Amino acid sequence: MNDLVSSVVHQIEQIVIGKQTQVKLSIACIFAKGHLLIEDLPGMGKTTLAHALAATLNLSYQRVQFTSDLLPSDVIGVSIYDTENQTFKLHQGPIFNQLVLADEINRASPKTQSALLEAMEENRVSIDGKTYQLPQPFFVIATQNPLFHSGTYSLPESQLDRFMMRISLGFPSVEAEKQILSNAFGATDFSSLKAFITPEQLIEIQLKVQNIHVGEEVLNYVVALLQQSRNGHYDVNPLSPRAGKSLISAAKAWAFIEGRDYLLPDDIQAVFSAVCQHRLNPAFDMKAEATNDSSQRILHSVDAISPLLS
Amino acid sequence: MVNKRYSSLSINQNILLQEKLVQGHLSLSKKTQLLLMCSLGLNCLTLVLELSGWLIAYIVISLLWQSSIYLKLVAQPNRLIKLLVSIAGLFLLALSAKQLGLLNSMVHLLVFSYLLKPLELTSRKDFYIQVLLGIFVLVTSLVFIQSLYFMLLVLLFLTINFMLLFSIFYKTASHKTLAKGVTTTLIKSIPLTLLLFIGFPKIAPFWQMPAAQNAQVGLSDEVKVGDIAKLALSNKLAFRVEFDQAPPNYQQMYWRTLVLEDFDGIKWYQRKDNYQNLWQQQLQEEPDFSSIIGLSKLPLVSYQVIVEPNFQQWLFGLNIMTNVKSEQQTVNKNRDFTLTANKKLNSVTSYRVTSALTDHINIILTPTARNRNLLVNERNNQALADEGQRLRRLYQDDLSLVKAVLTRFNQQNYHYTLNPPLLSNNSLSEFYFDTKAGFCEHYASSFTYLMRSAGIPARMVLGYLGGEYNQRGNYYSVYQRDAHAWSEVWIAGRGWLRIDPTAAVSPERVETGFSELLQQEQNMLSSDLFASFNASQWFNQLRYMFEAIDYQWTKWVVGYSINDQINVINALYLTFVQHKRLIIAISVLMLAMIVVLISLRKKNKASRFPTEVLLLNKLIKSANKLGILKTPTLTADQLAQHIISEKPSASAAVLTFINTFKKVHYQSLSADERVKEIDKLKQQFKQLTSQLKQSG
Repeated sequence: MNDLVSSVVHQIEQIVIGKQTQVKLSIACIFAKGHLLIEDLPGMGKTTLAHALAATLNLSYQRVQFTSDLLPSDVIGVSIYDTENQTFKLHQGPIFNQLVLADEINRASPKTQSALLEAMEENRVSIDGKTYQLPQPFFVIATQNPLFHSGTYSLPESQLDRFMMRISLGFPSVEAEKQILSNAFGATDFSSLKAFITPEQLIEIQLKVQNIHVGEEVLNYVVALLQQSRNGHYDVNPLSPRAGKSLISAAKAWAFIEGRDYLLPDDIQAVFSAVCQHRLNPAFDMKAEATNDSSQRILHSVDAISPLLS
Repeated sequence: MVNKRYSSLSINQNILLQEKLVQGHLSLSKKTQLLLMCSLGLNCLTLVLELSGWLIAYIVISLLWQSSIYLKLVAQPNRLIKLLVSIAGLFLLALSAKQLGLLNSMVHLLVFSYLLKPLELTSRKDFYIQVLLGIFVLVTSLVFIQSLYFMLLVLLFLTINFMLLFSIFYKTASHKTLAKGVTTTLIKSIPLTLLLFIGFPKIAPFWQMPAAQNAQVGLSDEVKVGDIAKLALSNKLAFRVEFDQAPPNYQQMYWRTLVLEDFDGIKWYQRKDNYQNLWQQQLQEEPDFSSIIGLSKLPLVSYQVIVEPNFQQWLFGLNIMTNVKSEQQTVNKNRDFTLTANKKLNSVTSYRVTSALTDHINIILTPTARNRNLLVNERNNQALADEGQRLRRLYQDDLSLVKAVLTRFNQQNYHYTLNPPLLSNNSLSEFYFDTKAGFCEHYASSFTYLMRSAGIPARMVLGYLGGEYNQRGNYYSVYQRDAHAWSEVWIAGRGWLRIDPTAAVSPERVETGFSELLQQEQNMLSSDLFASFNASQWFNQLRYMFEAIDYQWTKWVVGYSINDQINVINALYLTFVQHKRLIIAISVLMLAMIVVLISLRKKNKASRFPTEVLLLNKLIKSANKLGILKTPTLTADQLAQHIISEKPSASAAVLTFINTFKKVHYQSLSADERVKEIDKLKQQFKQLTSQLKQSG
């Protein structure tokens, strides 16, 4: 299995160059059954990452470009009267795919945004009173432009909370950028991507991830981190137990990618910022990130080895 | 997999980098901000009596302003606003500087800079400066007030300043924890403080402390009728006296302070050439102590006087002060048998006096002195001058004349009051013949004037009478309200004889003391709650106790001089020499106890941690020597990577140890397995440490 995972990671890294951490985080998010929010300036490779993930994991894939005039029915589908059979027939929307890319999600109105909510939380949608189960596995990868860009609505906290992780790609390094610019045609050639994993295999992986052992010391660590966010010394939203669960799930997936069957504080540290930053501080400020990241401050005030004793 | 190691390493580096950045940037928690505002307000409060109105307004406004900045109601000011605020303050300071004097201007400048510093707290360094400034401001207030209770207040505020300092290190601690921490630290510092206080050489300041306050307190060297009544309402402490033996009677406690010999018709003056400048000149004509007849036969009493700062030069003592010693001041014995200090008393001063108890100073009166003490200025008081001459014709004997006047005071309708009717031109005649109501000054000055008119040399003496006995502390407190005026007349054969005309009018004033009398009068005048409260017994008891504590404080701490210091050190040395073995034995025992306590505590602390964490901590300590620093986020794997990158030769041992550690600490093991693994871990740790040592 490890070979499989590493080849998945390796292949996506060929497409999204120089972003190993982010690629690994996004794969971890999918292994942990979480939805992923990618936030960055346009042109940083958000959509590319989503495409590459879909192709590599061999999932049915649909991209929805969110605009201000997008309606909920454009996402989930609509019942149309079939004159031949004298019945209403459901025309499934793009949501009936295993991987849905909600591109520039914060350009759509809140109503449309919230159409995604039920799907993301319960893996099903309701149309005209009837409930339809979504295909399994089901993921939403959403991309979002920074809030200071024109024509954007901010995502409400409740919706942000549905995303297991928020990552941003950031500018590539000098070498990576050279590489991107040099193979101008190869980069977007998704047809060459191999599908490594079948959906069944993915579900199996998700099960294995769930069964990864979490020792008491790691639980203590997570609890200490959650407590730290709640004691009011950081100007942030406190972390909920759901955030703690997401943190552990994501860390389990990370441990799985690392080839371990038990959790280490290192795994928590690796995913902490991606899982918690958007819960602590919904606004995305590119300048503040480097120095004043509240998740980093919380991380740095808890001892990793004996968290409850320090 | 290929990228595994690389990617996790890059995350770690990222974390380390961010840690550095987080440390460089100062972000104050809400608690620290609250403490900052608190300490700012409280530190300035201790100086509030010394600060001018505009600065107090400045303090209030800037506190409000800065609070709203921290509450995010207002934005941080930009450089221009800061500059304007500072320039405006400096301008005001410059305007009032002349009026304030040097010391107060400096204090204002200090407070001002302290106020504005919080506007530019950008780094740790700024924060430290802010706290230090605060403590400096706080301690500056002790230049002005030195009482024990004020000191305790300052100590309390100091705690808050230290809490502020602590809060930046203990970001998550509550106020209670901080206060506890500061208090324990302060208590721990007491031995060192005592050692420094007792042992550190008390070097005189390199600079002259300017008189902090120029307003004079207490008596003044010129007096017109009615002046003392103002003092009579003052509860301010003038000085305190501790007698070496049984104290003298109340009627003997005339604290002679000032002799006033010149009268201009309204005011009595001290002779300007009386002391200091014309010292040499006087030597020719004035008598000195050696000329007092029968001095050696008089009973002696010795006592210590502790004077509150009054920004004047004169000192207090009982008739006749023969021997005076002070460590803080050079004391002059003047030719009119009063005492003066060389410098104005701007801090608590103590001196020891030996007095001969007597009501007269038997000396030969020089012709100049005689003439001066017979001078009569007839302005405003013609009738009284005539009365003097009339009495002279009636009585040939000086003493019978004195007695006659005292009898008149006693038997005619004179009475003692602190609210005498107003006299036109402060006329003594009007008082003597018409109003017949007044207090010590009225009686003493009209009596002196009358004597001079009758041809008897006479002069006014100002001072204090009696004092309040504090049973708890066995000392007397003399308050400003005890200020008193009396006369001295020169009688052949007796010399300068003390006559207190007030005693003839109101004997209880002299016998029981003014404080008591005043209390009664006040109680009669005002029936308010406080007066009755004031009179109640337990309140007085409580007051005596507090005053006694304050007295000891003033005597031993504020007045602790270099001589005291030498005495204490000598005494300590002597004890050490005498009980050398005992002291060494005790110290060794105490040292041993401390070592045991520390090791016990370590063990106690150790038992809180599981064995594997203790071993890892040991590894972290030895890694420290390789330059690897422990950060909170450091995990076992990261530690291993760091050590391997520093010491590649030990990599195998490190990895085995860390893997076992991870197994024990993070994986589920049965109790048996755990014991086995921990044994393994201990072995591996030994190997690892020897490897680390071997490779240098």
